[in-house]
Amino acid sequence: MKVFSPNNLLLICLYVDDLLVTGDSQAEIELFKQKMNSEFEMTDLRRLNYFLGLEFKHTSKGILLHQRRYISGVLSKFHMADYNLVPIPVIANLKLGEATDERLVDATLYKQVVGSLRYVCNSIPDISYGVGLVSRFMNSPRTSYLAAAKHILRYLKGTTKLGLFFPRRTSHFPRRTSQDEGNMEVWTDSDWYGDRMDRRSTFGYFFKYMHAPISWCSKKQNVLALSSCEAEYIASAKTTCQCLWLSACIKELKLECKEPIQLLVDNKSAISLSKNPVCHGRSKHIETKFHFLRDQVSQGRLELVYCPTEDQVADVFTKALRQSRFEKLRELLGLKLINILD
Amino acid sequence: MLEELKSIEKNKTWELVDLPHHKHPIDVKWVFKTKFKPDGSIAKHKARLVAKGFLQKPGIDFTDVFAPVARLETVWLVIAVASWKGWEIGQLDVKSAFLNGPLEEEVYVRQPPGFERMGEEHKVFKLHKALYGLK
Repeated sequence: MKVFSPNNLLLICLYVDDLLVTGDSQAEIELFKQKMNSEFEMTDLRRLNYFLGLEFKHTSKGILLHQRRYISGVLSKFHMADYNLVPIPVIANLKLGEATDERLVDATLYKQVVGSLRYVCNSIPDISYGVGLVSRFMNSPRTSYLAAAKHILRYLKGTTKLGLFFPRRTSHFPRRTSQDEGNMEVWTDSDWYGDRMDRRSTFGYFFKYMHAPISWCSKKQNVLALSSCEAEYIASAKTTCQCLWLSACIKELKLECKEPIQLLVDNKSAISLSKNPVCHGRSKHIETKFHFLRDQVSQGRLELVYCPTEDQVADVFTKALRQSRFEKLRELLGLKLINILD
Repeated sequence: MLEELKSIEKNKTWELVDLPHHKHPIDVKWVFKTKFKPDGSIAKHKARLVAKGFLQKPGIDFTDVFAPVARLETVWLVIAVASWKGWEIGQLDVKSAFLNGPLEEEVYVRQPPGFERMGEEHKVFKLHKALYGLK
């Protein structure tokens, strides 16, 4: 993953036969390319612009990642190219439940649609919740589930102007950000028994580092939470695991990651539960493994910090939102219009 | 097809041998693919020789299957850092990467259809390096 010379840093990402190489010294990069070329037969694709079906656009303000080519391929594959656009991926407050009276649809087609959508989540995080929702019905897909999946495809058609933005440090940024650059920003949220069938909660997290989105997730919890506080507490514990892994990764790259890392949560009881080693009636049943969070908090590695629900970015990973709220959070996720950068 | 065979020969992937009596050779076949340029015109016709890996028996013909893969999160992390610091990101691609992997197990394949050696049709290739489709 990395090579050090005494003063310079060279980072290498290897994906089977595709290599990304970057670092603070252009000379080192060139040297590495030459060395690799003498060992294996290589094609130098120069500046990164197409990697694993993801397209990269370089601008003076930063790098923009999008999958326009992949998305339009998916739309024509499923004959969706002529459908009308929709502004949000999932109709607000949509709940999908058992629908045994509905007709079964072609399971292979359904799986193909879901599979393609999963890959698009890599560049368009805001559909993660919707994709997670439709993924729950892979074993017996019915008409309403396929309609929901196609709704996401129709939303994607309208996202061709959007890309995930990795900003470049410039003087335009507020002054304080130069000191904040080693900060990892983390949001974590959970709904409470949102699934109609098994009453489990869906949680999500979102990580930013160097002002760019680096990791996100929307997932149904595998245990049943008895209160919203418990659901949020479980979500925070799961986010902690990802948090520790990412911060270890960052340190491995000899970069700065300030501690304690702040987890932004919108549930005050979950926060007090993370600080207080008390065991009272309503929380005594919470599984020990989730108190891993409490242990990390007491070691000072991270802390839970309150964030008002309006600013909770991870909300978009836990439920189907109204359009205005959805668009606000989408902006905060780092999805920007491609043309504003030109 | 000649290009693919040339690349295989150049890599010292295999040698022609008599099949030991206790071994089963694995069939190979050609897979053809047309590569297009971005404007839709034909860039090249590509032929790839693949082994029918599904004929291999676990424990006998292969032990582990793996590929080194960077998690996408780490890729995003590296891109975020490089973009913020204004570093150049270069990209490299290894040509016929799979054929570079040395093979530990003893694997025999039949000669590729249409390219059998005259007078030695009964012989098989002993693989030193991996072929596509192999486990």
